[in-house]
Amino acid sequence: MSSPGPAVRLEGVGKRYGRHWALRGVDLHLLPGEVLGFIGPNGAGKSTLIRLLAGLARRSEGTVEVLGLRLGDRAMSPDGIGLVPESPQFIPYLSGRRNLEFLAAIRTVAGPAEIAKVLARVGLDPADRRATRKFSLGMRQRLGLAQALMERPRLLLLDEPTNGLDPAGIVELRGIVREAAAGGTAVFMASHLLTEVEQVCDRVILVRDGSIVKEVRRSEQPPEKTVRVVVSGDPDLDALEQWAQRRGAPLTPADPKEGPRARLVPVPTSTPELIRELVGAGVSIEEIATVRRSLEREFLDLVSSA
Amino acid sequence: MMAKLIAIEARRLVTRGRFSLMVAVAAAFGVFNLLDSHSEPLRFAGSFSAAGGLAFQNVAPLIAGVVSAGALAEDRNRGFPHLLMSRGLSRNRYLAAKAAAMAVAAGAATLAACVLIIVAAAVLVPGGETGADSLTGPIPALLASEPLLSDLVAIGFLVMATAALATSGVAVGTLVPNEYIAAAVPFIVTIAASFLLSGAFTLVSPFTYLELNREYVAVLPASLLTVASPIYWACFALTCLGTGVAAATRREFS
Repeated sequence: MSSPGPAVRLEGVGKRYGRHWALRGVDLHLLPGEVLGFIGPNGAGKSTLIRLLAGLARRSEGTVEVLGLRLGDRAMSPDGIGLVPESPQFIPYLSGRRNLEFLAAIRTVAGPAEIAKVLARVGLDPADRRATRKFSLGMRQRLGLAQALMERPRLLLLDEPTNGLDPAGIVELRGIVREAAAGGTAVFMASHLLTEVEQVCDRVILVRDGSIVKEVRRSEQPPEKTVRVVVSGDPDLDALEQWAQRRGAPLTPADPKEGPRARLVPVPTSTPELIRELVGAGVSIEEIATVRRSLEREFLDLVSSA
Repeated sequence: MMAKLIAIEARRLVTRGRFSLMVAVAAAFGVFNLLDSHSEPLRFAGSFSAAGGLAFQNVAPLIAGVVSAGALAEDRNRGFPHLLMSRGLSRNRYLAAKAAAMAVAAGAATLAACVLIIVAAAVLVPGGETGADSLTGPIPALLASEPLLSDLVAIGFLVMATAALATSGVAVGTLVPNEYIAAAVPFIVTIAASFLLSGAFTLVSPFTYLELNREYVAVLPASLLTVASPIYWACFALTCLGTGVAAATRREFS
């Protein structure tokens, strides 16, 4: 049985506004059922990429293929997209349900039953007749998610979907995204909430100045394993630094909250071997713990190197 | 899909409170004119051409602005077109549907107001035919021979005018996502044209095609009176739509 083609395939994609390249040389693919996170500093090109994928903007160079449709010189949205824009807004004098009915009438895929079901799924009351102008930011965000989900999209594009959501809403969003992915929907999620992206995404790409600079897979081990070592006294710290110099393993000061004798040490081979080496080098160890290099750290490194 | 979208969008505009408000305001002006602004006794047939429709040279641009012209800018300001266009609707089709819906809603408001004026005339004005001695209507010969038909033609011209004026909101709304600016443009353009355009330029002034009792008849040759208004407003609407589409394509608006 042949595997399904990618929901998104970008090759050498660039987008220029005047003389400014908002995106340049972007290659990526997204498979059905996969959740791809997209993070980067402000102005990195996240919203531009979402506009390209949604068919709301034309690429200036490269190939954009979304849901099997090659998007050419004319901006057009492929069928099967669910888009949650950043801070979604609705017709203010209509209720949430009426807004969804209005949008559903364009494709005529979702009927009243689906609309009621999806409203309940995102935590909104289908019987609520209040106009959306009275909705809080979090409620509008939930409604935005509902309009994107109601037609069972094959590609879900989320631009800062956690904006305005309370902690319970964020947890629900995580469940909804994983549920959609389990049903075969490809999910593309741009967010500033790094821990959220890290928890829900299969892969995360980091962008800077319109280019992808790094890709991190959730299933992957961190490229370099690091341990946090707290030594007993200053002589041990000297011994640790001498060992590091001999081994060519650069030490990094740990979080100041860990105390002055804490250091982050890259693990050359394995952790038990490292412990044996340090003890052999005369280092008295008070504490040792594996440190996973977080996405946050990656992001901060990315921003600080910009 | 287009017809459905136009119907949905038009319904959206027609069900707003401002639609009913403008219908009431326009009808009130018309009824006031029936009762007050005429120099000879009115009869039902021809009463709209002679008096009921007199205020529309100012009211029609107001209807177009308040009811429809700001709709695109309002939606853009909210980012709502994103949600529509991500459902496979192309930008041009969206703009065309929006323009059609805006025109339909504005035209419907004028039509509703005109119907109310006609109903009021049936109640307030004696039956019979209005004499055309000092009044012209859009087509003087028609008012003299078929005054009721003259009323219907005048209503048709005003409905077309309001509908076309509303499409200015497509051009303006594409360039500036500000509802109030887009809503003000039909009125400002009409009034400004009435003051600024003179001589041969009155041929292109929207005011000429709204003031059906004096300007229209005075500026245009008699042989063109039946077709000039429809042609002018069709060109006006197409120009607005074309400008909007060109600007939207260039600016990748959404």
